[in-house]
Amino acid sequence: MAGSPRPESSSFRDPSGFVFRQEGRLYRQVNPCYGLQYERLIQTGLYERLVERGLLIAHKEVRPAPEGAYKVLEPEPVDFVSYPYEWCLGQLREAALATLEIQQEALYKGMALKDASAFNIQFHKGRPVLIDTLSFELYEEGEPWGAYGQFCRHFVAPLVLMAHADVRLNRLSCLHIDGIPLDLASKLAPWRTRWNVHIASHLLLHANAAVHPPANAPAKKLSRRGLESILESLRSLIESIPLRERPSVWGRYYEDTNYSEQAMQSKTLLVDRLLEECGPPKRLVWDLGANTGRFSELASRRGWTTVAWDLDATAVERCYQNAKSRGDRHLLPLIQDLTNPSPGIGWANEERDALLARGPADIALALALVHHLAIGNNLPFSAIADFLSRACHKLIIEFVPKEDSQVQRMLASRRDIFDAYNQQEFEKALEGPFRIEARIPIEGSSRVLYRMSRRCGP
Amino acid sequence: MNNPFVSNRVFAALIGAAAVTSNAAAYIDAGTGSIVTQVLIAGALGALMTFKSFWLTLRRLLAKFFHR
Repeated sequence: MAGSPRPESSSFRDPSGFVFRQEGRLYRQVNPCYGLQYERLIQTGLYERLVERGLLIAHKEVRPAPEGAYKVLEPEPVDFVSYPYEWCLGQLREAALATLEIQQEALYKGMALKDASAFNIQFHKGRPVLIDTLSFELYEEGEPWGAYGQFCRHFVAPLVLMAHADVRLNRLSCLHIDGIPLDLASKLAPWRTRWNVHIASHLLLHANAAVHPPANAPAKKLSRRGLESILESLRSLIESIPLRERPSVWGRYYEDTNYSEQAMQSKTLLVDRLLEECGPPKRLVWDLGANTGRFSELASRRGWTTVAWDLDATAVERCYQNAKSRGDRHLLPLIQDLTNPSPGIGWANEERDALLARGPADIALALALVHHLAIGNNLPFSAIADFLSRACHKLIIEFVPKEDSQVQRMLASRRDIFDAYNQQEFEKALEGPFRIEARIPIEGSSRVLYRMSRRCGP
Repeated sequence: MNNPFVSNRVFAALIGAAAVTSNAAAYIDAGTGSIVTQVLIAGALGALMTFKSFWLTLRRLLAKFFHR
């Protein structure tokens, strides 16, 4: 390894080491001050056990370690980095359970998680996995769990709010990078949650203690048994989070649509063919406005890493549960409002990347999307074309004409100010950044599917 | 304090009886309030377990006695 590595912008909090990139590959440096803990992780078999159970990302040690480093690790690359404010309830719940499972396994081996940030968990091959190999410290009998407060802010607070108040409160995690303040969550949680003894303890009582900490408290210990009962209580809380489906506008979009079965079949076959023509992606496919992922599956079942973005948490939940039940390891459903996408957040806006900074995708699907952006959000075609050209290299896009009943439904309650909303203007705008390579009408409907390629990369 | 379960005075007394410890390897602030909460919850759960175990033993003894 040549030169002294420059840490990634999100890797500055923990003095145990840092993450850096070199020649397009990701590495994690272990600093000498973390040598003892790292050796314990390996020698006790904890690392092997966690990797075997799919709870920790596997790594290779790079030899020899460069000067100033105890070790350099090359972790298995994660297909796509997502953030807790983009996860549906089921994903956040599983990430929380995985964190508790890791803490329990660590305790068996005389170690403990020193942090419990939801950002340390990524969905890899369809499962939540800890990506921070340096998250472990030596456990000493009598020590309370140092990451307990962080666990409650990152997992308990958003889960309780999403499940018991409103699922859209997932966006609070974007405003509070170190987790939702417990006093805020406590104010927003519905009154009935006070009857749940686990929520009352870990959220409400905890919020009070966080707001009114004692000034000079005498030292006191927490026994191992006490710590295990805390973990057990947290697990009961997380497991009691209901995954029942909430009514939403988009959750049953495909059932409510006026698409005939023939038109839907025809569209499915066409999209499949166009994907085939785009060829395998180098890295990933994005399905923008994926709803429950009906068309995303066409890409993921080819073994292509596919991110299914949708605004609606209920649709994303269905997509995630469906993918999970059929064992789809290549599909990652995520919540995303394309009219107000995930921004860069944290220090200097660089700790967590904005949506477009995590692209571009090799292939993007934008099916039944354009009318929602153009008519639902008043976006001119040129702005949509510009966004898409920054989001992908190849594009499969559907144009829904004004006479389509879905568009008519959107125009029913508002004045039609969209004189430029027609196929000709659509093509003119998209032909700026893209080259139209195929234009195919969908049988049984007035809609048209296109395959396009970006003219030049940014 | 808005929590209807615990009054200010009781809560302050509970906090006063609880603790702060330090860990050299830790780099995040564990938060005094979070440590105190763990100690309190663990204490309550421990007491509950002791009561449960006492109750089960008592019930077993009573059952034996009445089945004689």
